[in-house]
Amino acid sequence: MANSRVDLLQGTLDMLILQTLNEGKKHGYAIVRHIQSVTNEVLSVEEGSLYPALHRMEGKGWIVSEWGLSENNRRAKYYQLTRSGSKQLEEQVLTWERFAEATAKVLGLSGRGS
Amino acid sequence: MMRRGKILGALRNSAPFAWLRAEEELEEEFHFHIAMRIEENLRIGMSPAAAEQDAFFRFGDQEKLRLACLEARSENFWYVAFHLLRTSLIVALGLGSTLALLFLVDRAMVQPLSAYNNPDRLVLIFGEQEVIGKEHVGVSPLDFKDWSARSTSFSDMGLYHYQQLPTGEIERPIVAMRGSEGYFRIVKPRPWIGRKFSADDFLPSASPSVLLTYDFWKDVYGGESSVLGSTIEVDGCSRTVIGVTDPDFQPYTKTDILLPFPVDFVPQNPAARGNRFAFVLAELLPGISLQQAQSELDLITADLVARYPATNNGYRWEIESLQQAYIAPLEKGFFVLLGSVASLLLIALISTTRRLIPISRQQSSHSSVEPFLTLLASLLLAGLLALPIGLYGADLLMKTFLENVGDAFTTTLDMRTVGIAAGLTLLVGVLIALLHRAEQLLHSFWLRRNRTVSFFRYARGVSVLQGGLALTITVCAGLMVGSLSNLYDADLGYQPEKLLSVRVLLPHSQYPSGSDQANYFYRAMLRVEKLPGVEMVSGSESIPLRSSRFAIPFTILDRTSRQVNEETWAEFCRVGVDYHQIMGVPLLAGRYFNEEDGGREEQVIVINRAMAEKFWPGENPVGKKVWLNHHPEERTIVGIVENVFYHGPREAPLPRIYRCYWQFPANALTLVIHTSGEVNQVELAESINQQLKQTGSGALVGSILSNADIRSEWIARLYDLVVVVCITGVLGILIAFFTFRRLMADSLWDEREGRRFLLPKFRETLWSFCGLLAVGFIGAILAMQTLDEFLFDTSSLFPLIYAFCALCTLLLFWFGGIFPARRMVLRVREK
Repeated sequence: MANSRVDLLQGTLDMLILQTLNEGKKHGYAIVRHIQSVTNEVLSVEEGSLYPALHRMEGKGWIVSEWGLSENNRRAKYYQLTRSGSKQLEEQVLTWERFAEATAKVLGLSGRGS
Repeated sequence: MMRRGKILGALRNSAPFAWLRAEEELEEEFHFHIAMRIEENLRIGMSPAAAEQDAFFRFGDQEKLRLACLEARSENFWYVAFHLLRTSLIVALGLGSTLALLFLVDRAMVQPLSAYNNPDRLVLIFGEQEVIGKEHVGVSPLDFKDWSARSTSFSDMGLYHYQQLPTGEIERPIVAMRGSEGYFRIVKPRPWIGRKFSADDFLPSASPSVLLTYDFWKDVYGGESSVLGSTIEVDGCSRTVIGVTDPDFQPYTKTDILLPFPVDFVPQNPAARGNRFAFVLAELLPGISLQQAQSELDLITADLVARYPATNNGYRWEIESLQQAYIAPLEKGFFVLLGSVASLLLIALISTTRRLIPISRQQSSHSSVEPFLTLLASLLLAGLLALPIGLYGADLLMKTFLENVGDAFTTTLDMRTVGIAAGLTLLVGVLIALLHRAEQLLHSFWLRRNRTVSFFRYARGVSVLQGGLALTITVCAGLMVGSLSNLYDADLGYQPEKLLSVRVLLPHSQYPSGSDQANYFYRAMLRVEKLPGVEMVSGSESIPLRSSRFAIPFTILDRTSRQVNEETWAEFCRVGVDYHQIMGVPLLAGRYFNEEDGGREEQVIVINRAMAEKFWPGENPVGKKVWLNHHPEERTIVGIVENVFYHGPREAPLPRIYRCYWQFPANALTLVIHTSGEVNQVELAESINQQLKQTGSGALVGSILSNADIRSEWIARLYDLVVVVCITGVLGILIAFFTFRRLMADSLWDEREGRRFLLPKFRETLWSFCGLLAVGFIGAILAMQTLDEFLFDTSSLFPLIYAFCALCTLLLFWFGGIFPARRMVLRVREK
């Protein structure tokens, strides 16, 4: 299992967080769990490193936060996507598609599996 | 109240403190995350300990992430500034105390020795006398002449001694050092202005000359070069000033003037051989060891004993390297300080290592504050802060350990001190980096083996060690405080209430004969006794706690078997009539001195209990006769008095002979004044001072001191040391507390419903506390052995002081760290 895990590419964490929050407001732990479950825990991310990214994006206005009660009745900080965050997500997804397409072409993978 | 709350709220939201609130929120957010991960781990069947380890491991380094989050919120500037200042302060405290010791060693040992040409070949020769506790005693000029004529181990030898002398111009006795020609050949004081002594200055026919030390010249003559060629009166003799020594020339004892000592012309009077007041400085020939020189000296000594048994029996002569002599006064308390300071530095390093450079597998890519730069900035700040702490500490330590130097040595801010501070700071930086690296390696090692719990245990163990060390220092401080109190209240064998004392020194030029001196003191006592509030007046050469160690040989006349014996030595002082009554020293047999003794033909002495028990066990010595100091003149013992602890309560009283001052006057006497106790002591002291000055011109009158003043002065040196240890202890506890608090708060955080974490956490906390108490206890026991010199009657206090310090530490750690963490948990539960 450990060998099958891959480190996140630089800059992709923001996109993953924004995409996760696109589905609704979540606290930090829920975001991590969502990424891990969707990717079958293939993406290796040090869980704490999510928080600097969240605070940075909040500073840029892509997300907002508020304190609320979690599913087990604990106080937790919830993050939510803003309009500017949605726009940013679209841009980042577009960039990623272009990047993935270009990389696939170089590797000769463009026709495989499609 | 409302207003105060608003102000505090506004303050917390202001830029410098906004990070405090942000940090609190981050703390809660992080802990929520870790707690959720632990719950999930438990659900999938992990054991509580494994669930916890995994959660902390997955989350990463909280310290690093906290900083990265604050930076992302643009609140990191004040956060970094605060942490930089905090860590710098912690390092500065450890660094400053260590610097103080380094400055002390440098100023008191390295620098004075560097003034000599061959410091490693220089030795001191001194006598040893069993009866006064193997203290260094002097050498007589005649013995010195014999040694220097016959010894082949030394390239040069010099004789020197210190004297307090009155001058006609200054209102205090000055410290003069007389040195032989050989002494000045070895020491070589360079002249700042004028010239040094020449061979002619040591001839008996030479015109009396004097060299001034630089500080004395500056203080008294304002650094005027016109002083050259002028004359100053020293102890009734006019001397021409021929020069001023270089500022770097600082004899071991603070000295005002240097005088030539024409030792080659000392008359060959047999009795003068017993007059041992000087010390010998000698330079070994290259290749000659201390042992070889000592063997040769022993042979010469044996020959001298055979030739002059009356004066030389019972003495031993020892050679000691000058370097060793400089270290000796430091040895007593130096290691105590070194222990506490090293512990504080260790505590500080442990605390700062993880704060400055967080342990992590990877550096945060978001943080612009590089650990290396943080470390450098922190060290620079710590070095700057440590410098004044070190300078102040060194001066304090010098006063504590080198009582004879007075303020001769002061540490100043110069290139040398800055260099030492920079060197030590660099060393501490390297230590922090090494400690950090070692912790990183340990961390990775345990991670590879999936044993993160071992690292948590290690971190907990280090914190426990920190707390234990801090507790040790605090217990030591407590014991020393208890010791101070015991010393202050100790029974010294006399009644200290309502006593005042004042030392009076008469210049030989104005009071040349014994009768002149006795006449002055007789009239002075009469005048003082008439003052309102004064009940009785007497005098003594030495009083308790201000007594120099002076012993003389004596011969018991009525027992031929012990006429001359190496143990026939006793401390000696002259006292006036009524001295013992005023001091409240009980009479055990015979009588005290009385008014008739002054005019009596028969010479009388009073002895103390220690002397009676040592030399006349089971007998009554009253009426026995002795010779004193080899003078074949009979002295009769007329009384035995109770022991008085002249050198403090820690030293058992030695045999002591009291002579009647009026039979054997001297030019210096400490007047002891018994007051009614209902007078204003300040006004009375002023009146006494006036009366003493009016009694005769030229008398140098010292400060008028009460018994409380003398006791305070006596314990003042220890007091400074106690203050240093107390501060070190409190700082140690506080530094350890901050590390312990975070550790405990982290481990208790996930205690909550289900109680699954409650028990292990409490058990771990309990073990941590037990470890802390055990380390503190063992440390305190070991420290007590080392501190023996500084403790007085504290063995019964130990359990109480240990329990008190341990309780305070536990309460601080509980209410400062664990209790708030528990409250946080409860708050979460309620919500």
